[in-house]
Amino acid sequence: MYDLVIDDTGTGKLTLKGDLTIQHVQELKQSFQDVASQAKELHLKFTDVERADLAGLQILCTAHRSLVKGGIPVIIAGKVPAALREASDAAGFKGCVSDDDQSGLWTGG
Amino acid sequence: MDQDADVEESQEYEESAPPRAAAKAASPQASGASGETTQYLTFQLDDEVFAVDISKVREVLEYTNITKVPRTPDFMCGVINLRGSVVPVVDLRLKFGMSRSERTVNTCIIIVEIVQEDEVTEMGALADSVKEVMELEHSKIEPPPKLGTRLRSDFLKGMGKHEDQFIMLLEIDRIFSTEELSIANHTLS
Amino acid sequence: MAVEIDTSAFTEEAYELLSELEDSLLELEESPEDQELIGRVFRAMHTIKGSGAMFGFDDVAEFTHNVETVFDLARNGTIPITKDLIDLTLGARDQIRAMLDAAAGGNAADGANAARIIAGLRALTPGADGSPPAAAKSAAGKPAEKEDAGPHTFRIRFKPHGDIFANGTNPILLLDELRELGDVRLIPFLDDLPHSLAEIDPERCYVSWEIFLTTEQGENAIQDVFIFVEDECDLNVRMVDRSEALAEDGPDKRLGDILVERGDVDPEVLEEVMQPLGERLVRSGLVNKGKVEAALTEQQIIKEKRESKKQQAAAQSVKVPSDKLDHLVDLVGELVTVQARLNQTSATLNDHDLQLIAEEVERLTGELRDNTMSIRMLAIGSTFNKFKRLVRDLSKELGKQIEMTTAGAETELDKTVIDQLNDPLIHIIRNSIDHGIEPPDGRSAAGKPSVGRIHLSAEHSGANVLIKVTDDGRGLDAEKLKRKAIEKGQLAPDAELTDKEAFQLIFGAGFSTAEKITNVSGRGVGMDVVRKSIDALRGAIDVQSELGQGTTITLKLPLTLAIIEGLLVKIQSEFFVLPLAAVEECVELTREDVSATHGRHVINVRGSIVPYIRIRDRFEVEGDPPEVEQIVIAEVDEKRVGFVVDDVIGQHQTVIKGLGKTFQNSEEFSGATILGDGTVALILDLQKMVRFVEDQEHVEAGISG
Repeated sequence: MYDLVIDDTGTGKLTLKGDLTIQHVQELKQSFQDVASQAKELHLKFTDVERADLAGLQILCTAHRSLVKGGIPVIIAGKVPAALREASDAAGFKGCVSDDDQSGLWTGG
Repeated sequence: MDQDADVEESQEYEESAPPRAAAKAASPQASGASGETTQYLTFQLDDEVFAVDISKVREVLEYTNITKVPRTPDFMCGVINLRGSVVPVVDLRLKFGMSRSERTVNTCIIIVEIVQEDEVTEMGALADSVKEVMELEHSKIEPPPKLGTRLRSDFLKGMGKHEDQFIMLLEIDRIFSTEELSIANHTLS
Repeated sequence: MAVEIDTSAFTEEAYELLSELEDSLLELEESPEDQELIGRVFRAMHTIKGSGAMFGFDDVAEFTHNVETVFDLARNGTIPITKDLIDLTLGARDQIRAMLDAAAGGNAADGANAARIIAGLRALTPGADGSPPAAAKSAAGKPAEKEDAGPHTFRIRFKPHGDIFANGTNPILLLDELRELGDVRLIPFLDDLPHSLAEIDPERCYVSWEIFLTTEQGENAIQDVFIFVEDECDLNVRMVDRSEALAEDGPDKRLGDILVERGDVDPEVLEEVMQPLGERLVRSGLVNKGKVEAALTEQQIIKEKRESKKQQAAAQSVKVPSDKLDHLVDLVGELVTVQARLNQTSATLNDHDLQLIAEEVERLTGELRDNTMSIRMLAIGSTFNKFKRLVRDLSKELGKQIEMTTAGAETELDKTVIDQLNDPLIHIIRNSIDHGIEPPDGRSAAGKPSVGRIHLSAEHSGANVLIKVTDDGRGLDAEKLKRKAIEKGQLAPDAELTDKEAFQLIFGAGFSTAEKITNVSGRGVGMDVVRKSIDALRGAIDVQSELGQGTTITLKLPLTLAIIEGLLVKIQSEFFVLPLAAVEECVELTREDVSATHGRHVINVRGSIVPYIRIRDRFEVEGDPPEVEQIVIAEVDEKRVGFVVDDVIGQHQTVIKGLGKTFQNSEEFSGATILGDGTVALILDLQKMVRFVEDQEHVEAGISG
């Protein structure tokens, strides 16, 4: 489930609520596509994330790269959920290793 | 009339009676026949009427070009092209020792499906004309007569009667068996 | 998991693996140093073991495991690859096969034999003195798990297939399971992950990993982690032996090599880059040109070897049940027939539009027919390979030394022809080994090398395939053959035969001049059956031999059984077809020619006498022959024979139709074909016709003689 609010400066506030798993990836994709089409900057917040799987990691990674390449900076507001951090550690994702522009989603905080 | 077709003693009949004919022979004696029937395709050879179990008949064709196969017995008319398959055709009149038939507009080829050496195969039988499909009650079928027909008794399943006419029910698998048709068995002049 | 598993997939694969295993072992015997072959043998056994265990074939798994353990020692160089090892492993292969047959309902496998094999294999292993493994010959070598406790590092390449999520698999959980085995360092590869939201299918997996796991457990534990996703990922597990990588006297691994090994750099790319380097080195005088060339040559050789190995590996193929293929061929055959009628009809109707369409249909039908025929074609190489084992075992049994070579393994034949060639070829080879090749001392005495040679070759020749079996053994003794034939009453005592004709005697029924009838092939029922089989394939056998030097048996077979290239002829109003492959030429026969030979059925063709058969007479055709008849001269059983017809119409290619059991004893016809107008034309069986006439003549000669 997601909630997107765009303020008059064009900043999108996206709240992703719930697990970051394959059951939700289509929705997640849609949420980021909405951001891409409406916002100039993204503030991303997670809530109620109990589980994250590889599908979830993938979509976040791609969404991040996609937005950044499209000139929309991504800032994580609040904490990165533990489940997400654990999953990305388990998968060896450390700032999206093969991403040349070094702008990993979770290297920051 | 020369009888180079086989006519055999009644003794043979006892030994080689096909089980079905025997069963049919038994049923007239059994009281309260069940009224079971079988359908037969009847056809004419000369002035006699013969019949084949309809379940063995694939189709009936008009007389068509038959390619004679050299050095085969007289009763082997040859082969025809049936939708891409090569099917042998037998002149039953000659096989049964009758005179050779004359081709008329009614002459046709009955395509039957028989079992030849464990394989299902198609064969053609030349007939002067095809009559009708008849349903015969098992109880009305008698065993083939031991004498008096020029036909070998093992070629017959039995004899049926329909409106005063005798119908010879043919044991078609036997007639078309490889031994019967085998070329090696028949010496040519 | 009490699920009914269909074991047929396993058994089918297992039989194939066993076949591969045998081939590899035989090749390994020739080149015992070839690591690739050793690896192949090992992998085949390993797969049989693993699959066997999974499908509940515990006895097979256990037995294979025992064999594998010993072979593993050979793999890492602890024990050498010796003939004994190969013998035992071949025996083990047979045993596994017997076990599979038993499971499929055959006789029970011989347990005592299994124990014997294991004991034999164990006897080859070094004593339990803990002797350390010899220096590994290849990077793939690893110490047997039992002998070297202690953690090992494995490199695991794990690439899930795109649809792996569909089964509810979360690859991250698998990575966690690996962590439970030991120390894990992993590198994810995200190159395939799309950069744009629009491109990504969120339900598809794009990530793969290279994982280094250091664990006390063995490779099996790693495989087990992935056991349920085996089919949904590409998995490569390799032990990276730290000690070898850090060997003190070993060269440091070159970056280029490592990159190539890891598949990160194509060897071709490396070579391209290397070459200029080589030139630069030479130009600068730093490296001798010869050395650079030598290094480049080595690279080239490795590249070529790799290419040929790639081709050997299973090409993209699909398994199709034979009867589906047969049905397809039948349908195509019918199409060809009907298309011929379409052609004829359209020509008669003289409708231009229709003719154009008919031409197009003809073109397509031709292509379809060629294509379908080629689907049925298989390379004969696999048949040849099967014989290697036969030759090996048989020569061993008879105490002879024989080497088998082959040529033309890639020659293709119709599948049915290959199937039916198997038995005849086996018999011919057996004859060569049994009667042809002499025992080693016999050969040395005759001034020949003690190792005899049997050479199998196959090649296309026109519309035929020639398969030759050549041996350098004793050769055939024409005189002996003649004597034997006279003894058996198959030949008149005063008959004069050329050597070539004498050789044909071996095809007489019950004919065998073997002094000692070995249980292998001396029963004398062989060659006549062989000829019958070859006849049934519409082929021919040719025998050439030189006493003391050897014998060559040549089988000439048509490329395909289903379609005939025929010569259409006419006699009176009937059409017949002769197999074109046998036909050499047509000459005219006039009344003068007939009278010139005084009624004997022969004709003079450019100086040689050719006998002929008057088909009209033979078939008792009514009517008078034309003034000028035609003789079709064909080669039958190595003789030239003429067949007299009224007219030669021309070439006719079409599908052969069987005549069925009714005509199976026909002395004249081998089948029928359907002409363009739908009528049936009979195909003449030239061999039968000639032999019939010959037999008759013999009988007549007997009566008058």
